[in-house]
Amino acid sequence: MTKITRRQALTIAATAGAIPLAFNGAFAADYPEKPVRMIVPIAPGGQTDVVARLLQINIDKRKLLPQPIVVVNNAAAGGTTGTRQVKDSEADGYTIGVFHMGLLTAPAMGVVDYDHSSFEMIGQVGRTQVGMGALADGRFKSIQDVLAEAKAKPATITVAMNIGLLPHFVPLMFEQSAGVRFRYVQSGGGAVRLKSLLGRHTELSLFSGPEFLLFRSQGIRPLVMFSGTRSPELPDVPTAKEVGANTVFEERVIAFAPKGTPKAHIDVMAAALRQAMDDPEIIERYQGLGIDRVFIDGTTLKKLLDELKDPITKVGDVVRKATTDQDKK
Amino acid sequence: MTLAEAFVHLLTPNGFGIMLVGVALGISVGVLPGITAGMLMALTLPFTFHMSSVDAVSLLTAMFVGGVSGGLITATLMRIPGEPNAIMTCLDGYQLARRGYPGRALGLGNSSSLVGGILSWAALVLLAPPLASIAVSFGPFENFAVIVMALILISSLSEGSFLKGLSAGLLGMLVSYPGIDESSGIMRLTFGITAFEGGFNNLPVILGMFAISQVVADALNIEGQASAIRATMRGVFVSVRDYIVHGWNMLRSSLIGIWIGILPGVGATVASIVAYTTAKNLSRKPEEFGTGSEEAIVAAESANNATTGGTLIPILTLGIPGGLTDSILLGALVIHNLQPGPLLFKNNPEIVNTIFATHLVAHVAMFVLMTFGIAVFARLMQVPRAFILPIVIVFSVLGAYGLNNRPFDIWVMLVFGLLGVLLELARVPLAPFVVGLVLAPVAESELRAGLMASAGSFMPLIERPVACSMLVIATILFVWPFVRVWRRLAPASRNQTP
Amino acid sequence: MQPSGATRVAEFSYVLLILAVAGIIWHAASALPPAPYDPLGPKTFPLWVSYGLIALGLVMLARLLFRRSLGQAAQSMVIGLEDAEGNYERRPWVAVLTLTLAFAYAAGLSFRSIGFLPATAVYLFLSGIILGPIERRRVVVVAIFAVVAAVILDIVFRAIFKLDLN
Repeated sequence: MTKITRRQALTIAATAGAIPLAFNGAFAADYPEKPVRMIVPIAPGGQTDVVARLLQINIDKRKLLPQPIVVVNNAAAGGTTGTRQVKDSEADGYTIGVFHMGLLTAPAMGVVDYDHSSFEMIGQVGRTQVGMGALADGRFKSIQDVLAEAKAKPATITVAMNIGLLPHFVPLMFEQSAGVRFRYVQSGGGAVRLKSLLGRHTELSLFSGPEFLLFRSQGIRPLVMFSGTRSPELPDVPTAKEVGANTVFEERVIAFAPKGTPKAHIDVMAAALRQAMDDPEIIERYQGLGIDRVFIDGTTLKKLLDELKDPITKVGDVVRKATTDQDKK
Repeated sequence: MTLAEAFVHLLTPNGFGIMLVGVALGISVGVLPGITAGMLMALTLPFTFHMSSVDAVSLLTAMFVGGVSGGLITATLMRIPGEPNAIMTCLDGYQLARRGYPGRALGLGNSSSLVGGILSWAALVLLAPPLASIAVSFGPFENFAVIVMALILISSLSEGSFLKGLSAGLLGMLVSYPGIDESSGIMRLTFGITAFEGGFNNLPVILGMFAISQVVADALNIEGQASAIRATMRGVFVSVRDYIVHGWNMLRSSLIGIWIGILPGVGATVASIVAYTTAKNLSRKPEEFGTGSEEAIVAAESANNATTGGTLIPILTLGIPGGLTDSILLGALVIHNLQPGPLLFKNNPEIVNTIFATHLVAHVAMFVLMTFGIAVFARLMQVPRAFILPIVIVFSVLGAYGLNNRPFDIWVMLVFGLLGVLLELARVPLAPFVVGLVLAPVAESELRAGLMASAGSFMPLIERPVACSMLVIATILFVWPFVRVWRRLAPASRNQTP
Repeated sequence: MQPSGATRVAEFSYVLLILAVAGIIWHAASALPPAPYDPLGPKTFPLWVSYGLIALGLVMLARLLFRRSLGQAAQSMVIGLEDAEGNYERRPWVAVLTLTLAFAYAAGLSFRSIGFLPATAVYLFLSGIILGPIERRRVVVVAIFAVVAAVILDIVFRAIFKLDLN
């Protein structure tokens, strides 16, 4: 038996070590090799679902990925079943999820025991500004009217909300930073809250920028927006900062994957999504829906969400305090 | 595109073809237990992206209409509801068929569906804005009062065994509670099982209790199936006289269906139950209900088709979906860049008019297709049960799974199938269970939302006129049966005392 | 009309079931926290319904024990199970097997390694067999039906509609 020289041994070892690396690289290039499941924890037809489907159609149409994406809806339990499904799936890159800020608010409500750090972030694929509005011929003509009344009579102005989601959390943030208190009434999605305002069952509610544009003809007037600067579509509406309440928060559509999904796969998916977003047809559709076409990559998004988690958790604590207050009554 | 032009478009080969395909698929899916029109529409949604918005909307509306109607056939011939809204038709349709008049049962059901659809179309086209404003003015307390009224009305479903019926209703309510509490965002009654967090969805539960249990019952009686239903289609064509005799019932049941369609979260299943019980309470022969009463079939079928026009009102005027099926229609609109609301009427009249036109024409097409379909399906009944029953199970499994893409729903369906068998053996009526299941969550969330607005005060229930009057009516409805019994006894005792 | 023995047993089971379910819910609901914004909270409705159900259950239990009637569903949906008409043999084992096979089918589907097509074909075959006399010729026919139907369903729902059936 010939002795293997040290050099030969090293060469063999290096080659042997390189083979799996080469394969890994090759796999990344071949990913996806079978259809990718995109879980959307929202009923088919909801706005986030529409965004997810628009992107999926575009990716499939332009063959931005070698395999199709299949959108799977699972709206049970306010979306938490769907996010849990993603969390518990194989981290092989063949299951991803698309959801909104409910991903952050659910743990703050204590409904789930995991938060966004249990996932790998692929990226943000859309963003909308949100603000609060009232009936144009209601008693509030400006946000200052609202704040004055709220200070004078705490917990009397009714706010239509969707408990555990942004329409609940953002007004609470506003409350905290403005030093006032509202009275919260459970309603539901945007159109249901619109109906509540129109029927004069409640006085204020959170709506997104696009919803304001849509509902203007029905008689809804935006009073304040929670964006950094004034929205170009609603130039007459002050930001919360301008009235002395430092609340800035936006609704975001985010794509994510189970923790441990290989970075190579994440990058491929992110690239495909970004490319889809650059398509003129998608640009037009986003505009039609009133969604800001802002892509944020996974790493930056994770940092951003880590920062946003803080005010959300604070709000969650406020809700829990309100629970114990109710207990004492 | 005006309404007239929309109708004309439906006569072109393209428009007609799409509508017809939609209705045919909708009916097929309605006939098949398990798979619902909602699921069909959800599965078709991706295909609609490649169509023009007019065609997409027409297709989905036609499917919607077909789906609501198809359940009649399997309900009458197999006692298995093809759709949850055909539960009440199962009771009397099947009985009438067994007595030797399947054609009559199907014919009456079909005609009632047509009338219900046409009346709701009229309401949709002529009265959408005023009806929408009435719906908007209904706040949480009013909605709660309406549901209480419906619940009390339905208590007459347990005549024969008040104890059993009421217990079934309460059991149904309990089944609806596990999961996220809508009014507080708190997870409740999940016993630490994450699968329970999504709650027990209505569809798998109803499928289980009615379809699965019926399959098991049929398996038990597998030897006796040969004589089950003789497929004579005599009587399928309903005479003018029948329309007159049942006219009042059709009208009243349609109005109930339209109104319940407009209300949020209630749906066609409850509409048919309410119409059924109303018809029973007002009938001259209430004892016939459950043994093959024609009035029962007419009431149930008119109401569930009438909800189609009703639900379209909040969808189109406000963008508020009443249930899963509606939210898919809504999603289709949004994906095609069409936002519901008054702007839709102004900027995209062709879409609105297409929906209007399709809704009506689809009902007519449905009527014709169903008549043929009945003959075809009656033939299919000759297929041995050994093939049909397992296929029913497979479709039910697909339907349960397709709802949320989670296997848990399949298990729920099967377990409730077992429960359905138990209830049947114990001679407990199933309809109250369904009512409790469907209405309990809505009643609870409406009342609690109202209390949130009123800072915990129940006074609005008395102060608000609409809510108050409905609660008064509910009380009267509750007391009425006791009054009726008392009145029957009182004269007798008066005669006895000297 | 005195209900049959089977009905009595079923009634007992039903009453025990509702008492058990109501009791469990009562226990679990009592421990629920209040809600942040409404005075009733998540516990009130389940609690009251379970009170009602327990009360009804106890009344029904008492009546059963004293051999009183509980009444029957006026619209008897139980025709299939208790029909006196027809001189054929009831097949309780077939019924039990049918349900068991359905459960087995669901279990089979939940294993991702067993695809929809094979699971459905096997299920259709087995169910078809037990729902009729076991003759050689018939077995072949059922087998063909099972495979063909499973293939069609697989194509329609998995390939065309892209239902995520693994």
